[in-house]
Amino acid sequence: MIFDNITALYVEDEIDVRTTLSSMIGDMFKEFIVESNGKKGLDTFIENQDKIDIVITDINMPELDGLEMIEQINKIKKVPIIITSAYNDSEFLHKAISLGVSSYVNKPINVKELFEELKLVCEPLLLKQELQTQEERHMKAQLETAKFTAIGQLSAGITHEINTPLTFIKATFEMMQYDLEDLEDSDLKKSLLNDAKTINDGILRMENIISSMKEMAQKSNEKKENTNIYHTLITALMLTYNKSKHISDVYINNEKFTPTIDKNKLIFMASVQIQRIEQVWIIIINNAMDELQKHNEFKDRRLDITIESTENDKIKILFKDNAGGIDENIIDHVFEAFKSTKESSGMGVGLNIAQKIIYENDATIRAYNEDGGAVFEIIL
Amino acid sequence: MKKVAIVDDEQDILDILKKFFSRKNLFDVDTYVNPQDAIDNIKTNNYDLVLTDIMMPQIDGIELLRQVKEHDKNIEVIMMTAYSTLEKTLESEKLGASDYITKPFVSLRDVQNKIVETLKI
Repeated sequence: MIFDNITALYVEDEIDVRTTLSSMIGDMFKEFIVESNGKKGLDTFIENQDKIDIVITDINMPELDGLEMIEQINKIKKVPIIITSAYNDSEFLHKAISLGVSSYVNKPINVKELFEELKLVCEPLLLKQELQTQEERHMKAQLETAKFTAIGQLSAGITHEINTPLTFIKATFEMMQYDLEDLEDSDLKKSLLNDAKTINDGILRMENIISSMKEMAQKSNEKKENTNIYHTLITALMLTYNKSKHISDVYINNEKFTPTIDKNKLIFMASVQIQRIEQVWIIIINNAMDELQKHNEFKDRRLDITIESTENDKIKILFKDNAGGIDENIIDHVFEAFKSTKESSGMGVGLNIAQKIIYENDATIRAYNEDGGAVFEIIL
Repeated sequence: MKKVAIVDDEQDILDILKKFFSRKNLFDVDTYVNPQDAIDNIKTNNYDLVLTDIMMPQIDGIELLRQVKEHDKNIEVIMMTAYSTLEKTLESEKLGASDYITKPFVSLRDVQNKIVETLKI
């Protein structure tokens, strides 16, 4: 389908020539319209002038001959025209040229010759269409970006507006529960405490949605800087320590993490968007902490982070937990938005955001299961 | 008893924190809805700890932290933030904040624990 964006009108009065040529080249076009004389050809052209890109026509035809048809077509719209004819005397050729005919193919038609002429005539058309599609694609991409920026700003605003009442609803409700617990035992107290559980579940879900929206609202235009990746890992561990210290020990290159660890003990330099890369580590660490709670005992939980140089001068970072691994049903989809690995919490956008950030930093990320746990591998 | 100042532009949040801590009676609590008012009072009232929101109109929590630390670097400051933006958190850490708390709070007890830990009560 070499001319698959092009619609052609083919006019020829001899049925044998018409059918043969149509069957040989018709399929190469988006649409190949065939007419049997100049009059019908002109009518069809008028009817379909918006979509016809090129005209191929015989000259000697009843009703209206080829050159007269071309003359009429020229008045309507300028399109490339190829003529096929057994004539080649100078008067005829002179007229054809004066009508602006693009090309001329001798009869009997040599299909290869016609094909070469078609290629020459159609090339600018194809190029123009290619440019148009490119421009359309570019515009669409720009529109998408603008849309996401707008959504980002909007969600940042909404997030903040909802977060504040959510904060005092949650805190006030916590107080109410303390008061409830202080009441003397009764059926009413039991029933109220049960209801409280439902409300708490609801609050938790709202909180998770809000926290996902916060992640989405993070700005993305940070500049890349040459930095120590080990340092970014330690920063992320410090920022998640409030949560992780109650859940699991974390080891980095086999050393147990404590907030007093030297942030530049190891040096692995790379040029990245520092805060966004830290955001990726935080998302992965937080996910691991959520998953690790499947084990009841603190001592059974463990997250191992390793950072090392690869043979081709890249940096490889592994996050490996022992929480049982990612469900095989979704392991191929963990980086898709709204595919939460958690049963109740989160909208499932964290890893999707992480992947986007990783790609923007010219790195790769993949997830797999190993030794009864999930592994996230990032190569920078 | 140690003295704590809480600063937030949302009166509802101040009310619930004040109510909770008054019952526990582990430290004295004053609340300020206006950051400038808070700074003026912190400079004269010898607070041991300031718990402040980051996102506030006019004077934000980072600026408040800077001014408090300039006045007396021994006053402990804990930051509260709705946005868990690393930028602000890291900036606070550099300026000498002792800890930070995200909103919504994990629980009021968690907020209390952080204050108690920081004040070593």
